[in-house]
Order: sequence, then structure tokens, then C-alpha cells
Amino acid sequence: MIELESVSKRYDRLLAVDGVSLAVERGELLGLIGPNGAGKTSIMKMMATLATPDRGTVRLLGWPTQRAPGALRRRLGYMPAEFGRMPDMTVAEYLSYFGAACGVPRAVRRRRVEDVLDLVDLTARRDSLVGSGSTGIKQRTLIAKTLVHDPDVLILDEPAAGLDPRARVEVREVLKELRRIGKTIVVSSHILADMEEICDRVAILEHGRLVAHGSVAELTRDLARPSATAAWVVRVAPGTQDRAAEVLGGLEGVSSVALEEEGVRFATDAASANPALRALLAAEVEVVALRPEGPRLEDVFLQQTRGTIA
Amino acid sequence: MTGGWRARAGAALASWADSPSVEHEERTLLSAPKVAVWLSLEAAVVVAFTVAALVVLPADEPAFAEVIAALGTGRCAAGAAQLAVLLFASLVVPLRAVGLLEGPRWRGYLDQVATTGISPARYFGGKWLANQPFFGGLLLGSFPLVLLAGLLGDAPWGEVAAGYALIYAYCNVLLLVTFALGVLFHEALALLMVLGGTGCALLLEFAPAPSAIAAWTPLRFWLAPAAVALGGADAELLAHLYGGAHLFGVEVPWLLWIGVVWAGAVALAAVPCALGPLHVFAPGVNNFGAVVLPGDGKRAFFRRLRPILTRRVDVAFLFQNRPPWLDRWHLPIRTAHLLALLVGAAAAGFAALFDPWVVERTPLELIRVLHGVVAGSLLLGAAYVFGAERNASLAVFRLGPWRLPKAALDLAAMVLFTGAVVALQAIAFVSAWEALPRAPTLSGAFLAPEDLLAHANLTLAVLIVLAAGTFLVVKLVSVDDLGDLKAAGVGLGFVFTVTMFPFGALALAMDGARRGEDVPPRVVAVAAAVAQLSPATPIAAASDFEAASALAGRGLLAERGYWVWHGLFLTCAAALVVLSQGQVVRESRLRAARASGAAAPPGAPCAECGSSWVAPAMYCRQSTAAPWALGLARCLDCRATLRTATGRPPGVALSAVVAGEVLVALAALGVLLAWATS
Repeated sequence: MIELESVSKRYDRLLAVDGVSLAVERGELLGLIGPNGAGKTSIMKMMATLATPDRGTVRLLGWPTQRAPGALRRRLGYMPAEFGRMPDMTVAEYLSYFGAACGVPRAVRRRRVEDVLDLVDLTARRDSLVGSGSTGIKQRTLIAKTLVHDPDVLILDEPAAGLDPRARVEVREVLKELRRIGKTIVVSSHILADMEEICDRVAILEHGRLVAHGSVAELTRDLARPSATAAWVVRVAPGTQDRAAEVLGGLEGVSSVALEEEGVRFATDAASANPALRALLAAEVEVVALRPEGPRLEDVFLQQTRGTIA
Repeated sequence: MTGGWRARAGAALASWADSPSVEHEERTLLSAPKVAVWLSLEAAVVVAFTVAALVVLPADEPAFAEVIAALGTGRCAAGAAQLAVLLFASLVVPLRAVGLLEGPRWRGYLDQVATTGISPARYFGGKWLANQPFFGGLLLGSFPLVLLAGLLGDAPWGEVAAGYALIYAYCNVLLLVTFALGVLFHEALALLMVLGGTGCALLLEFAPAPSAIAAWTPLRFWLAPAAVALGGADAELLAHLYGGAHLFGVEVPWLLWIGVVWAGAVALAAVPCALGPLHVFAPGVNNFGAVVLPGDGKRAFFRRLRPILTRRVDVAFLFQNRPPWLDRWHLPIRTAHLLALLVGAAAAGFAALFDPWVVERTPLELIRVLHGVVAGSLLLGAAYVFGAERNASLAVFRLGPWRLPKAALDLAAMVLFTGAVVALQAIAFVSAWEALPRAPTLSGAFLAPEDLLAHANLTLAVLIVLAAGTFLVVKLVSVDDLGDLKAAGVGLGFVFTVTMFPFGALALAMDGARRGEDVPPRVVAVAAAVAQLSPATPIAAASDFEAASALAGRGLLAERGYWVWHGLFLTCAAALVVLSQGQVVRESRLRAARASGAAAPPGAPCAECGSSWVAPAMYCRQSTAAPWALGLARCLDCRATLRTATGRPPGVALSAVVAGEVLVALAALGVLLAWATS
């Protein structure tokens, strides 16, 4: 569905994208991750026909993007990182405006608007002014806008940027739903846990170059070799996470402790998790579950990138 | 076939009716409070204007009372009310036409509009369609007042209906022209241009100028009967001027002529609305919302602010949604569009100037001067319009196996336009041939039409040569991404230098000689030779301006100097333009090859940016000889000029070559002047 062949993009002396080759298959959800200035937005703008590559070719649905951009755009849903300041219109009017622009006939537009409002759970806010909502509402409105003409391909630039945890989860669920209904999606984000959960494949960029590319399983495989340190996730009773982290942090051999949504992640050089479990029970922390944890996307990201800004 | 066109037109209208612009306008323009505000304002203007025309003005000026008595109160009142509607519409319609591009741009969602794939025709068509009810509302809203005014006397209701039809058509013309200017420039600028232009057009309508150049608005529909009703010595003149257009001996009724003018304006306005601004998506100007040109890293912040260019890039992305066939043919269509505009202006200008009725009443000396002004403005205007690359020197039109640079189309258009001007002048003289002997002269001496024609031909030939030089100069300097304003500045600078400086030299020498000073003959000869550069010299020498030919020196340069100087200049400039355009075609080929994934050509990479895409250069803006003397090349990425062998900037070597060239040129000039004055 989307192909990048040795694509390069330069801004004066800055090589923002350097010979990137990438392919996204039909129905796939590809995540683009990288530090700031890695070239994610440049790549997404080229995919969305809003920038032309200085070298190489970007193909969308089998066609070079510069050959017939107008026709390709009608089969593309693009969500920019910036929402813009829309004129005074309600959420439903906003969606109808873009539906009309995309060529959705008036006869089916009303139904389509209701469908996408339902999909992104905004039906209750259909008559609110589009500029008056929270960031989460705006992001969901933008996602709805990209869907109103039922495109084959979705390009979503930072859909979870600036969202609170609840809104983030909601957007994540919307993306999962879109993947389930067979959309081809490219999404960029800094929230690696979300990307790990929803993406079929992930491309890691740094200094405009593609440094790693594959499914999360493939990318973490190399890091999953047996080593002296093992990582574990312990799920504890609500409200006891901080206490558990404190206990684990005080144990000998524990090298890192991090709070998770419902538990604590820690790494230890002990042969088993028994010492940690014993310490938690002794401290009267109620352990709900304990499971070993392999390397995560975050580990791959940290290993592959240096974190310097290009 | 007719059915096919009908079906297509119906489909287009249906798609425009379903445009997002219609959705937007429905919400904003046609909301009840706004409609009430518009109608109240309109009613106030109509009442004020009608009262002024019927009560205040006749009290101050008896002529107005005579007009009212001659035409009838009802007719005058209805006409005044409709004129007020026309004035109100002239102010309101351009205001309603803007915001389609700048609104989304400034609010930061034009990228979202562009990526919907909406065609510009549908985007603009929707706005046009949505404004029709607004125009209808304006006219209907004023109708009760016009009716009331008409009932003051026996108003001719057929004329009132025709007046409304004209205002309605005019609103649509204004709307489309504002759209077009908003696309080409900026919508705020377009608004000012249209409001200013409308003001000038209305003043021109009042002026005693022929309808061939002065009929732009429906004003003369009401003005012509009033002028006739005035009576007196001027009545016949005004009736002729305010009536139909007289085109080369053919009288075109006013209604038909205004229809032709408006149809032409709509056709010309439709082209930018469908094609957008001319833009080439070259590196640096191929990103929505961000223009970063090669060398920006070294530039100060304020020099990186490019509001005009950034706007054009953003708008160009929207216009990528035009149909593929338009994309394929846009360059010839744009050239033909400009050509049609200029030829239309030339036809109207010559027709007005050589209207036999006007010729018989205008001193021939004035006609001769006006002829030079009209021909010069048109030719030099064309030289700039076709010469400037408008930041699109890399635009190439593919015709079969050939890649024609934009300059080739521009050259063809310039040649065609020059031919059209020559033909129009000939037609104008033929149409006015019998009237010319009856024309008055300021000196009272008889001037034969043959002499006038010979003088006009010489003037035209001189101006064509000057325009050709300007065309080549502007083309040459604007090939290197020079902005429109700078290119215009260089073109004007060339014309100014060529016309004023040599003429100044001649004037100084003449002045000295006239005052009996001991001006050395060599100085006078040099001044006379240099003065031959100016187009004014051969024109003045061929006229009865005796002082100009009194200083004619010896030798070829003084007798036919203008043609020799400019012949040499045109030859050199043409050679450089050919070289620079060859470079354009070569770079275009290399860019296409690079985009298709071909390997970079062999050679040293650019030392400035490391790119391997370096094209041998045959043209260098600073120096003619440097490409051969130093072996120059240009980087396609950072556009730096490099030495082919090393990939490094030529630096001091280039300066040395430029200095050498200047010395050689000065030496050649010295030899030439010595020869001329020997």
C-alpha cells in the first residue's frame, strides 16, 4: 500500500531523511518512532503528499505520489500534528465540511458523520463547537475527520500527543478498532508502550535514517538472549505500588525499578524472583501476580538510538 | 454533443453545490442576522444616493435639473437607485470573495483541505454558487426602493430590469476576478487591487474616453442617456464616447461590447482559479508550511522570512488537486492566458487611439506621443511578463520527446505578441486612414498619413528592439531563482539606463553647445554616439524635433547607432539566454533521473553539502567566460557554484576571471569609441 524507495529529504544542510526504504502492507499498522528531529514528520508528510522527496520515490497504492496527488489524496486520511483553529462550527459540521471536501455525497454524508462520531465516541458532543473541546476531544475529532470518507490509508501524526492517560487509552482503542476493520495505518508517537501494544511493525528512525524495522517480536528477539539480569513485573493490590517499589528498590541485586500501570517492573541478578517475593510479602504488600518480562520496545529504542537531536 | 456538454455542466454544478465552500457559506453568509445587516446597509446607501441625485445635486447644479427634466423623474430616480446598488455591490462583492485561501491558511488547516483531494474548480465553484443567493438578495432587497423611486414618475421598467441584469452579471465578474487575483497574489492584496481598480474604472467611465478602453462597469448604461440629455456642444462627443465601442471602423453596440469585455474577464479569471499560481516543486520549495532554501543556514533570520513564497508553496499544494490533463498542459495554457490578456489590451488600446472620430478631434502630435506610450507600455509590459520566470525557471513542458523550458514558450509568446502589435497597428492605420488628413495639428502644418505611418513604424521598430533587450535581460537575471520584484527592478533598471542615461549625455552636450561653450568636438561626438543607445534618439531624429538631429556625428554609430548597439547587445544576451536555458533543461533531466532512482553522474561531489548530484554549468550569473575557463558545475541540492574538478567553490579564481572580463570589456569599449570618434 505504501512504499518508500531510497527516499531522501533535505532542508538546506540538514539531511532530514536519508535514503529510507520502507513498505507498509495492506491492513498493516506501522509505527514510526524516533527522537525529536529524527525525520518522522517529514516521512509522514511525504506519505501524505504534502512534501515531495528530493531523491527516491514514495508510492501510495502503487502510484508515485507526485504523479496524481489529487486522486491519491481522496483515498488517504491524513491527521496532522496540529489541529489548527477552525472557524465556529460544531463537531458534526466540521466532519460534514471535510466529508464534502472529500467528495462524500450529501445523501450519505449525514450517515457517515454519525458513524464516525460513534466510532470515536463523540456522538454526545456532535453539537459542541469544534474548537472548544479538550485536546483529547480535538484529537478524536481529527481522527474522525480522517475517517469520514472511508479512506484506504491513514497517516496519523502523533495522535496521542498531549493527551491525558484516559484519552490516550481511548485513542489507542480507536486505533485498535481501525486495525481490526482492515485499515492500513501509519502512526507516529513517542509513547512506546502504546506503539508496542497496537503496531504490527515498528520503524525506528534516527538522524533521518532507518535504524531498525520489524515487528516488536523481531526487534526484541536480539535483546532476549539469556543474561545475568532478569526482568520481572509484579502486579500488586491497588494503592500499594509505591510501597512495593520502595521495598524492591532496597533489595540487594535489584538494578532497576519502574512503576507500571498496575504494578512494578524490576530487574534483578538473582537466580529467581523468590527473594523479591519474600520481601514484598514480609512488607505486607499483597501480590496479585508475578511474571517474567522480556525486553520491550523501549529497550530496543534505547539501544538503537543515541538520543541526540539531528 | 450538446447533450454531453449539458450533462457535464449539470454534473459540475451538482458537484459545486455539494462543495464544502457551500457548507461554509451557508453557515456564515446566509445566517439571518448577517443578511439583515447587509440589507440595512444597502437600503441606507440607496436612499442616500437617490436623495442626493434627485434633491441635493439639482439644487446645486442646474445641469442636473435639466437632465431630470429631459429624462423624467421616474427614470432618473430608478437609475440613481440602481447606481447606488451598483456602488454598494462594488464594495461588498470583493469583500465576500476573499477568505477561501487565506482563511484556512491563517487558521492552520489548509493542509487538511489540500489532503482531501478537492479540486480547485469545486472549491471555488462552491463559493461562486453559494454567492448567487447573496447577489439575488442584494438585488431583491433593493427592489422595493427602486420600485418606489420609479413610481415617482414614469420609469421605463424594461430598462430597470436590464439594469438589474447588468448589476447581477457585474457582481459575478467582480467575484471571479477577485478569486483570480487572490490566487495569484494574496487575498488581502487582491481585495485592495479590486477595490482600487473598481474605483479607477468608475472614474474612467465618467471620463471622456472611448468605450473600447473605458467600459468596464455597467455605469455607462445610465450615464450615456444622461450625457445625451445634457445637450450642448459636448453632447455629441459624449454620446459617441459613452456609447458603443468603435473597433477599427466597426461599431460594436455598448451592450454587446460590455458582454465581450466581461466574458473575456471571466475567461481570463477562470484560468488562475483552475491552475493556481505557477510553481515548481524544486528542493526547498516542496514542503507544505516550510520553505527552506539552500544557504538558509547562513542567512539572518529576517532573510529567511518569505511570506509570499511560503504562501505560494502552500497554495500550490492545494492546486495539485487539479485534473491531470490540466497538469499536463498548464504551462501552454498559462502562456496563452497571458498572451490573450496582452493582445486584448493592445487591441483595445489601438482601437481607442485610432478611432476615426477621435482622430479627427485630437492633435496629431498628441496621437503620435500616445502611440509611443501605448506601444511602449504594451511591449515593455510583455517583456517583463514573459521574461520573468516567476521562480519557476525549472518548469519544463514535455512535448513528445522534447523538453521545452518555460523560456521557449515565453519566447514564442513574445514573438506572437510583437507580431500582434504590428498587425494591430497596421489595422488601426487602415481604419483611420481617411480620418488622418482631417486631424488637427498643433503647428498647423499638414502631416501626410504616409509620414505618420512611417514614423509610427519606426517608433514601433525601436520599441520592439528595446522590448527584446528587456525580455532577454529579465529572462537572464531571473533564471537563478530571482524573485519577481527583483526581476522587475532589473528590467526597469535596464530600460531606465538605456533610455535616460544616454539621452542625458546628449542633452548635456547639446546644452553646452547651445550656450556657446567650447565643447570639444570629440566630447560632442562621444555624447552623440552614446545617445544612440536611447530609443528616444532615433525617434526624435526621425521627427521634426530638429535639435535632436543637429548633433548627429560621423560614422556608423552615430547614424545607425541604435541598431548597431542594440544588435550587438541582443546577440550577446540571446547567446547567454540560450546557455542558461540549456542549463535549465540539463538540470531538469538530472532531477528527473534522480527522482527515478538513477545513479549520480560521475564527478567530484559538492564540497558544500556532500551531494553527488552536480551538473556541469555552461552559464554563470557573474561571468560569461568562467564556465569554460574554470570548468564550473552546479550542485543540484544546495545550488552552489563549484569547480568540476574539485567540487569546491571557485572563490578567488572566479573573481579573477570576472575582473579580466571587465578589463576586456572596458578596453573594447575604448577601442569602439575611439573608432567612432576618429
